[in-house]
Formats: sequence, structure tokens, C-alpha cells
Amino acid sequence: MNSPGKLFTTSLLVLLILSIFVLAGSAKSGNQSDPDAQALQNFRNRIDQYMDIHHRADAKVPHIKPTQSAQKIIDRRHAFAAEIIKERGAVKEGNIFTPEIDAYFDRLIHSAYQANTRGINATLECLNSINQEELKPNALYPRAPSTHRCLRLSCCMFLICLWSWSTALLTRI
Amino acid sequence: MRRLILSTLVIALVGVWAVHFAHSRTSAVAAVRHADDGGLTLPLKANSVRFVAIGDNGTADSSEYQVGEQMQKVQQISKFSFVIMLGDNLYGGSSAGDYASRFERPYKALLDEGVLFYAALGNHDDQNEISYAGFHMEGHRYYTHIEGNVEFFVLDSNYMDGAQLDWLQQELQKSVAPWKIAYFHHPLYSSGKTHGSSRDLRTVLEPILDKYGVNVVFSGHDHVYERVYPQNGILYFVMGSSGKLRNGDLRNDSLKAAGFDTDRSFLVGEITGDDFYFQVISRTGQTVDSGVFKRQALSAAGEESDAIPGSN
Repeated sequence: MNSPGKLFTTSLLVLLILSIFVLAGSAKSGNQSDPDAQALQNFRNRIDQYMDIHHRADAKVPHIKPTQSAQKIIDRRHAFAAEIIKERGAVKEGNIFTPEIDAYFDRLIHSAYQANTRGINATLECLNSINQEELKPNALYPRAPSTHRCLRLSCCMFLICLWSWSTALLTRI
Repeated sequence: MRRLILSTLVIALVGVWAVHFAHSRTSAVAAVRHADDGGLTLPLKANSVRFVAIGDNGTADSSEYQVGEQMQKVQQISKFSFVIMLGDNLYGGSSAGDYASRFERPYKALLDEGVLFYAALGNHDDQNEISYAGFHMEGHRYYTHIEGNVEFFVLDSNYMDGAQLDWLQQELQKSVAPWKIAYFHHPLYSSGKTHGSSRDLRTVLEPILDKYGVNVVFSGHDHVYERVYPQNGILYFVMGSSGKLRNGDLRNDSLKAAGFDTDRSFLVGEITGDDFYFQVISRTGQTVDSGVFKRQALSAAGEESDAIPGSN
């Protein structure tokens, strides 16, 4: 049986060792967060620059008065996009998502995925429905086929019908 | 014998599926009533402000049209005069035809009746929609509109820059409307599994909403309906299922006062005096939530007193 004095000393030692681990861990994470903060700041700066281009392009393309004509709005959209393309010149993929920023978001998404697997999967499902070949720098965001869900549902319904039909046929035999 | 076993199996499977389907349909539905024939719970008082809120609606799917039909039925009884759109008004609005199939046709009956639509931009919307006359944005990403004793503050939560925040503070500061309602696409509070609360946006926006006594906030983005327990006295709604739907996407957490995630829906509201009556109606005309919210009083210091939460 341990004496109370010995128990106290042991507890103190355990606490001391634990504290060392916690402090070491926080120091390590502190070191890690600096490049993260830098990457995030870099990303924000690049987004701000991108938005500046948007604002400049927006100022260059004549604004239209409120109109019922959807075609006029679509035409303005295309003119606006053309102006952005002109402003950004020969920008290449990775202009905003540099390798450092890319790595930062990879880590962020990985940790988010652990916390919200369903949510991230739903987002990925949305992205998968977009034709990846159309995703190019400075191109208009491609249109997701809204029918893919319906198509999948129809296939499921068809399979269910097929199954029911074959079951019914089997019962006749 | 084999015939008997197979038939039993088929019946059992169909039975299990039917029970499961019926359960999932009714589990989120509270106090089902049909709204299309006088089932409105609103008081319909003279000189009250009546409106409808829809979000994430612009799909052009049959569901959007069915919600539009229900809205028209409600309009015939309640005579609401305007609709607030919480963003994602036109999914894939890249051709002129999209404006017709996603907005003009689903709500044609309402538009013909002279009902006005006031839109906020969602993440699927093109910025140039601000020039579309049907959305009454008058060329602005963020703007206000006043209806009776209510001032609506419409924000663009896609890009909440300093200029927009400054503008909001100024507009709220000078507003003399007894009721202040803000709406924008991304929810500050949401129990949606897919997106959930927009915490970054909450950090910058909530202090302003609290400080200047905003009473009610509407958002979309999560494709469900949710009424959140009042936060610092403000009543928050997520109405992101007027076209899109994420079936079963609501989590049961401490935020959720009421919710509906098994079909599309819209909210009809009426403000009279210090009371805001609301009723949420599904695509099929069922009432899935309703209640009354009393306007929180502002003290001399600009702090709000406790609000009375709405109830089913």
C-alpha cells in the first residue's frame, strides 16, 4: 500500500510530465499555424486582387438600367466576362491557388472532411456533375446538368420495375 | 410453395418500404393542415404587411412550379403583395430562357396579380441579375425596401466587404421602422448537415444586427426549412427548400426550434403591430410550422429585451 506522501509525489510527477507534453504540443502547433496564417493571408490578398479586377471590369462595361429583357442581362454578363479575361491576360492555373495555398486548403478540407463527411460528399457530388473539361481559367462557370439526379432516380425506378416484373413472372412459373 | 414464398417476400418488402416512406414523410411535419382552403393561421388584419419568403427556388423543376401554385392559392386568400427571395434565384441562369423557366413561368399567376419580388443574390446567381427588373434590385447588390412599418435590409452574403458592412450600419442607424428584417443567402445559424451555420459571416454581421435591433433574419443555402430558437432576441429562419431539397438534411441540435426537410416549402408572414405571424406551407399545401413572434423592445441603451419565441 502506498503512503499518502508517495502518492502525492507520484501525482505531481505525472502532472509535470503531462504539462511538458501539452506545452511541447502547443509550441509545435504554434509553429505550424504561422505558415497557415501566411497562406491564408496570401490567399486573401489574391482574392482581393481578383475582386479589384472584377470591380475595374464592372466599371468598364456600361451598366444597364433595370430591364425585363433577360437577353440584355446575358449580353452584359458576356461583355463583363470578356473584360475580366482581357484584364487577367494570360493567367495560368495556380494564379490564386499557389502550391502553398493549395496545401493549406488540402489540410483544411481533410480536417473538415473528418468533421462533416456527408456535407463534403454532397459538395463533391455537385462538382462531379460538372464537366471537368469545361473548368478552365477565365472561362464561364459551366452549367451543371440538373437532370442527372432525375436520371439516376429513373434508372433506379426502372430496375425496381424490372425486378417486380421478373418476380411476378417467376410466380407464374 | 415457391410462389407463396416469393409473393410473401414481395409484399413484406413493399410493406417495409411503405412504412418507412410514410414515417419519413410525417416525422418532420407538425400540425398538418391544408392551407389551400382557408387553412391559413394568419390573422389577416386590415393594414397588416403580408409577404412570402422563398429560397433556393430557381430550378425550373416541377417542384418549383408546384410551390408556385401553392403560393398562388395562398395569395388568393391572404392577398400578400410581395415576395422576398433569399438567393439562388436562377440555377444555371446562363441563357435568356432560364429567366422565363426559373422565374417568369413558375410565378406567372402571382406576377399577373401584381405581386412584387425582391431578390437577394445567392452563390448560384450571376451578379448581373441585379439589373433584372423582375427582381427589383435596381442595380444594387444590397439595398433596402420599406413596406408599411417594416424595413427590409437585403444583403449580398457572397462578398461581405467593408463597404457593405458600413452601408448596413448607416442604413440601420437611420432607420425609423419599428420592424427591421434582414435577408441574405448564407445562414448565420443553421442545423443543415450539408452547410450549417456560416460562422465567419456571423462574426462580422451578427454584432451589427444585434446592435441596431434587427428583429427577424431570413436566409437560404441549406435546402431545408428551419426555425432557429431566437439568438440574442433575433428570430432566424432558414428557407432554402422552395425549389431544391436535401431530404433528411436537418440535424437535431439545440438550435432547431422547428424544421421540415422532407419536401419543398415556403413561408407566408404577416406583420401587424408588434406581432409577426408566420406559417410555413409545403409543396402539397400542408402547414408544417406556424407561430407568432413578438417584436423585441429596444431599451434606451439599444439593448433588446427578451423576445417571445414563436410556437407551433
